[in-house]
Amino acid sequence: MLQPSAMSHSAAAPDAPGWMAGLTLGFVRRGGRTVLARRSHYGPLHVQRPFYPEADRDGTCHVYLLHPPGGLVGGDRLHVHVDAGAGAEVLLTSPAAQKFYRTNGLPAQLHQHLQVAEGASLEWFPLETIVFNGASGASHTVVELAAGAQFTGWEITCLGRRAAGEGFHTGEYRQRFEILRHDEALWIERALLTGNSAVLDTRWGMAGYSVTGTLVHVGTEHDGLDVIREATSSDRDNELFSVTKMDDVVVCRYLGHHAERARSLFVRAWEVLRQQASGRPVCAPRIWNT
Amino acid sequence: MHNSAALLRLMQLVSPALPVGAYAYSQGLEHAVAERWVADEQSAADWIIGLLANALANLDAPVLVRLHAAWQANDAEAVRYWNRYLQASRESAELLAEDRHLGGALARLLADLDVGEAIEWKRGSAPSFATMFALAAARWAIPCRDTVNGFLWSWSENQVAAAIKLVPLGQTAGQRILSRAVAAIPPVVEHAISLADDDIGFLAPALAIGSALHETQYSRLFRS
Repeated sequence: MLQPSAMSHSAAAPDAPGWMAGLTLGFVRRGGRTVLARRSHYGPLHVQRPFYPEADRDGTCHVYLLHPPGGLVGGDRLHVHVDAGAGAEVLLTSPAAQKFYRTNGLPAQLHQHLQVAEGASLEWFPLETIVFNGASGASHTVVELAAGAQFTGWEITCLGRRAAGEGFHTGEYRQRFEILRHDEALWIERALLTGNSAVLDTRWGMAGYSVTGTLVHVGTEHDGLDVIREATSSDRDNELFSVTKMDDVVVCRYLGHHAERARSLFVRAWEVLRQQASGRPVCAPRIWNT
Repeated sequence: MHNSAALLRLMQLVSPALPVGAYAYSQGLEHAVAERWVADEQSAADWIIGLLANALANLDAPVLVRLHAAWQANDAEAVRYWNRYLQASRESAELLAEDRHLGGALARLLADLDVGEAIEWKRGSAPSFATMFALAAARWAIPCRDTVNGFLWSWSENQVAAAIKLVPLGQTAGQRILSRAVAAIPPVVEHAISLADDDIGFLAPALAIGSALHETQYSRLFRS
């Protein structure tokens, strides 16, 4: 692994501290099957060999993203670029939570650029991001959709490590998650979560909860919100969950204390959305069970 | 503001009597009251001032600044961009529908008040309320700061009116909350003017969820 200062294509200043890592994946549909045709990386970002666990064998190509350091410290920059070519069907997930550790002063940055071509489908299901007390992190995910492209993806954010008794008192997490179609903004969510700020405790903000999650879906014509609402009915005393649809963007939101719970509600929504979008059952990555 | 005509036009634009139907929308407050998140004067003030100083400060107000500049420069592309940006940032179907409903109503009204380009523009894409508000302000020579001050006051006044009906609160309690909003608005305007494009947007998670849940709430007085 190279330090950024040794890399000729580093976008950072030559003496910038922190690790740089990047990963580019290109999927194409070839002979009735989606294959990982291009991959390149620098620094500690990898993928496992693609596999095809779905019932029809040739269906969606599943890929696990691996980031061996397990998290980012101040000054780190990660770039992920995914290109799902025409007609490709891709599911990406990760075997471990992403972490933003307490900073040395500099922010850590995660950039993710996901392109989905005509008739392609991308399912983007990273495990949760844990923002440690004292971290300074920024995450920017841009999804670019061609006509007729489908996308389902989520982001789940845990502030502090509640199980270890750690709150989120200092630090900052900036998150931007946006979907463009024909260069036009289809959906934008920008969160600014600052330690000890009003947004963490107020009733309109995080309301004292430590985990917020958003699932977004584009590509289903059918209006099946009631089916999703039924499938995700939750206990309002301990968490909040909602379903809405703006033009053709379906958005589900979770607010509570448990990332696994957010994921399990999102999987139920995904089951309905995938059935409506393609008539196929979901195939939840087995790694989520470990 | 030294131009009396502009000041009087701003008063016309921010009056609760402006016939666009804003009184029919609570922007999630009705759900907050139903869930007892807002139950008295203090919690109503926290809700309204908190959203003003965080959500509007980082989304609606800075976008309004840019829309005002775009209309002044007759930059149709920039108007379109920020109009789209605002609608793409809406948290729920109801909040998006509200924004388009008020924007459409203001466009029709402006056409009757000789700002005819509102209707022309509306044929291309559904305008947000802020988009038409900025158009009126630009054509009536209302300066940017006054425009944003007025927009935020008008939003606060409408939220206070909804809180008076919903919580319910007395008129005097409502005026106390509005006075706090008046104190909070000027720094929000300065923040909005200084914010970088990349920093525009703000997620208030429980508001987003509450307004989406309001869409299926059993008993409702308000349309959002």
